[in-house]
Amino acid sequence: MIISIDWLKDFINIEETPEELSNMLSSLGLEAECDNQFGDIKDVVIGEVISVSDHPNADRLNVCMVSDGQKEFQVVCGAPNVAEGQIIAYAKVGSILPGGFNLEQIKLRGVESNGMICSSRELNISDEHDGILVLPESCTLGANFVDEYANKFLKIELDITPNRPDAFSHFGVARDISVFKKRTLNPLTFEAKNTNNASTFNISISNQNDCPRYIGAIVKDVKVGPSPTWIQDRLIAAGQRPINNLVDISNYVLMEMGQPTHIFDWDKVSSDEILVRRANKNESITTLDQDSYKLSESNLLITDGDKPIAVAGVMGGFNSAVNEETKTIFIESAYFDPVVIRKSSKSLLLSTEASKRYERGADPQGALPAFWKIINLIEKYTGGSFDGDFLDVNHTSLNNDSITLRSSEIEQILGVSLEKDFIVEVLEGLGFTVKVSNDSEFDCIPPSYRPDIAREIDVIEELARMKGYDNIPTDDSLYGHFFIDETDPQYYLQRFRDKLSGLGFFQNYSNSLQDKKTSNLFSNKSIPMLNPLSNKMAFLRTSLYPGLLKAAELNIKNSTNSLRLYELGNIHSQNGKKLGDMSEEIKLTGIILGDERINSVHHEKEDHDIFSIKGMLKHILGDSIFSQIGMVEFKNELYEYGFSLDAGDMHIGTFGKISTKLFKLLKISFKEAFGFDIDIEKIKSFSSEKVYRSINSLPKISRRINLLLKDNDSVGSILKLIQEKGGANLIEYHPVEIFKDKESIGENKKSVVFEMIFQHKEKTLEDKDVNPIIDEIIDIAQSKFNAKLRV
Amino acid sequence: MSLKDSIESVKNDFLTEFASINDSTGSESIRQKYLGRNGLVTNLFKELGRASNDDRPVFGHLLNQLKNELSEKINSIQAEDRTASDNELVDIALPGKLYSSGSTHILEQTFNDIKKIFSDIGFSISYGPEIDDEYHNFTALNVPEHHPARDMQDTFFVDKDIVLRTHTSNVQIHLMEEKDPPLRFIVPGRVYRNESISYKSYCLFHQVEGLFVDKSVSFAQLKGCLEYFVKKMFGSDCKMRWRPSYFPFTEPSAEVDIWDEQRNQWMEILGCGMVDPEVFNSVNYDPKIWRGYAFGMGVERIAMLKYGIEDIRLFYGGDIRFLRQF
Repeated sequence: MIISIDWLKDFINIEETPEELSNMLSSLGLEAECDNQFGDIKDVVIGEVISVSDHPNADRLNVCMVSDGQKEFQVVCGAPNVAEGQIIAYAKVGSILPGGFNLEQIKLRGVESNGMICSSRELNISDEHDGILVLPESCTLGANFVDEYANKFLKIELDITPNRPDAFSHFGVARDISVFKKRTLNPLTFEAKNTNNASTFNISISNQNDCPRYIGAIVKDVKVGPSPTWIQDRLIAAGQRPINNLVDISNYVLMEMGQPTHIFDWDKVSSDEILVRRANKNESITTLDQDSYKLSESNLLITDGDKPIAVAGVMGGFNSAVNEETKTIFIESAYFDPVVIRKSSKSLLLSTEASKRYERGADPQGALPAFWKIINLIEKYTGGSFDGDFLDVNHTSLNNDSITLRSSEIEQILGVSLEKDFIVEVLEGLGFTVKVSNDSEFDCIPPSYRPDIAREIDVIEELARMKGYDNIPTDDSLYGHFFIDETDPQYYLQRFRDKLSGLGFFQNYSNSLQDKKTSNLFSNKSIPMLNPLSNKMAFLRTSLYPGLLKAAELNIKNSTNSLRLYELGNIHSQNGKKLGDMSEEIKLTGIILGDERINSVHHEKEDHDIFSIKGMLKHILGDSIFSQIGMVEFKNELYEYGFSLDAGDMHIGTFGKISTKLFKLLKISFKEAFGFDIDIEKIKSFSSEKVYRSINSLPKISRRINLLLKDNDSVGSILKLIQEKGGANLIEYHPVEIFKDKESIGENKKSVVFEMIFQHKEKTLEDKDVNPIIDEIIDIAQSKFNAKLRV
Repeated sequence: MSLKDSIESVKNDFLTEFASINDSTGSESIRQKYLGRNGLVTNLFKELGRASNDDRPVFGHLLNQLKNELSEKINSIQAEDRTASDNELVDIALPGKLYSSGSTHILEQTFNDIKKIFSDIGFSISYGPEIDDEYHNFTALNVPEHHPARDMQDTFFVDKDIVLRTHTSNVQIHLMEEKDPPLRFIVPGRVYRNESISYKSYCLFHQVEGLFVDKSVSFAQLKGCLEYFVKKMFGSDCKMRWRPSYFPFTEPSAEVDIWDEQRNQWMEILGCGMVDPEVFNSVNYDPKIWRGYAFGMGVERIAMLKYGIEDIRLFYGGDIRFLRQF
């Protein structure tokens, strides 16, 4: 909501600058923003258009002489509405407009122009830019434009929270300030009129819960035309566009008092009846702004007994809208149920100034004062006459329940005790009826415009607000209990992050929402959004690979030739439509591509390969976990060749060379990458307890055997054999050399040197302890695995 | 003087002289003097021919020993010296060998900073589901179905009743359903908003939720806790202000702003308040006995303010020109 500071001053004294006022309102809970509206403007003065003549070289431009009261200046102006005798805002050469725009002498199509005649938008008054701003004749020539005219348009933008319908008007904001700053609040002014016992029309309400109050009245002989300048200026300052006197008056009362009203052209309504009812299926309405809406039972309607003439609390119908011809009007000032209006506005996707106030909860007792204010203004500014033709169908309750407020509870909740006088003064200022029942208890009845206040805690909040949150003392003692729960159940992940950083991996965070095709690449159980932002972000991710590959693509395009990237994040999938069928898993996924080592003065370049990944996995998971993991081939379209990581029955993840198919599907331009994808939560099940073993300083015995194998045979079977037969003293074993040479060892053969290291826990090993083991391994290798001992 | 005596005397002379030299120039001249072509030791070998047949092997052995001992000593000093003055250049201007370094994401680092600050004052850490029912995300948090408060957060729906959580506050409810009071937790996690993507908003972001429930918790304590947090996070001279606000699950509710020197304006960094009794009612905690405070903060926002990052999308792009700065 935009409020005009000038308007606010009708109700309360304001001495603050817009910025100070804005800070004050924020500390009251009315979050305010003020841009430096006129602060940038320098040397714009009140001027008069002395003459207007055609521009010799341009049809749309005029050459004007402008006076500042002392001198005349030639100014080229393109506005269609410029005319001789107008009082205008003249930005001289050397003056500055909002945004720091500095005016210089220029030539426009060959004619010298000294400054500019300004529009409302150029001066930050409103968005109006169809022509120049024409000022009232009362403005003093040569006076500073901001001081002389613009200050009454100073405004502040407020973000009113949903609980504060009472603050959704100038008067409501003034009321808060008056209590906070202890300033006098000027009351709303309106004059009630006599009403007839019988009206010429009838109001019926099909369900009084939907519409607890409906005030209607007929005013005759109105003359529609522009509203007076002061009303137009106020509306402009509050961000509204003036339309005509009837509409403007209704908007004026809305902005001043917070009560929506609606004015119908009564001559267009074909009956003498107003029926408030829900819409039927298949009913529709064309609203004021000439949009058509299909209606449903969610919509509450104002009808003429038969067809709709307005969507209640949201917008009027086109068929009953006022225009220049309107003579007799019907004025509505009502209170509708907040939930009904909210559902109705939601179902039409139509939110208006009226619906915003009704859905938060308007003031059931505010409908009448607002009605009289409308009548007063209409009689004064449209020439209309109200002869008492009036109905008020009122089912609202006048009495709100009383709330008991305890001093002890205030102190408990806020941590500070408040003076009795302060409590009474604040609550009464806010409109509560307060009865002090004893020194420490108060009976408080909230005003009808505070539907948000129903409990003691709500009253305490009001007191805290008016005390000022910054004035509530800070308690920095540590109160409470110790807990022995695990402090962070995801602490174990930090170990992996640290190791990955050490290996040169950057951590990525990527969007969880993907297009259907991408999310379906990895699972056909991906979870769709019912209301996605776009097709590109319609499904939850089922793998972290696409995000990483797309990030890699971006970096490759930015000339990175080597990259290690990982993400640690959640993926989702579903086995059904119920919440219990949806699963969430943490994945640790990484990719490497390009050079493992770049070319340098010290060494040649080396590419990443599958053994880079295997080595990294050992480093990341740690020796102890890694030694418990087996790897078998994993066939999947994702990998050109891949391997699954398993510990017994437990599948932990996969790694491999990313397939070109995946690159194509994701439109990735680079050609080679390796990746790993780990169910990191399963790693948690491996014991992470640290085990200490005493250091064994006894000598080790190392043995090497050189076996001739077929090129296609995996060293795995020999390693497994060594592990099985090596006995308790075998502490390390691995292949240390592979040699291929057609000449010396023959075609399709490889010679592999295996090293085995033995160490006993209690004694020094001797040859005789180890030799039989070596012999057995060689024997079996030769007999079962077609290996040949090379000597 | 017998040859044996000559050997002894040459050796003693050498040792005396050797003790006084300390660089390679000195060691080179001593080598010439003793082991050179006309050196003292070389000359002794020439005298070996004059020794008797019996004596020759003995003296020969002694002379060889002497020669070895001397050259070893001279070599040692020369080797020591070689590191200092060498003809081979160690060109330290060459780059070092490359060891690539990575980093944890700035959001992860910010998460860790926040976790550390709150762990230090007794908060445990808990996590909860990103997909949840409306009950845990809204209703139990005192956001009724047809209430304008639902507009405060644009929600992604997975099904009629199932949403991507719009805040980590859903975990407040899960925690209180599972545990009896008192409790003190923070909840880090990813949350989603159906908002179009721009430099200042994204369809998801990260939050840290806080919840403290005990018997006499007050707003003054909440202020103490969060002022401690803000000063730890942004420095002890950070200017902050408290503003009343509205969240359905807290009453009174507040927002905290810090003064941003760069932008010359107040910037909101967190929302908080005293747990609304309705929330306690929905988890069967007796609001007459238990009170609490809760808070929630955006991790991106904190990182953006702390490091002056202007575009929220940078966090999710994986651009290493961004990532490697942290």
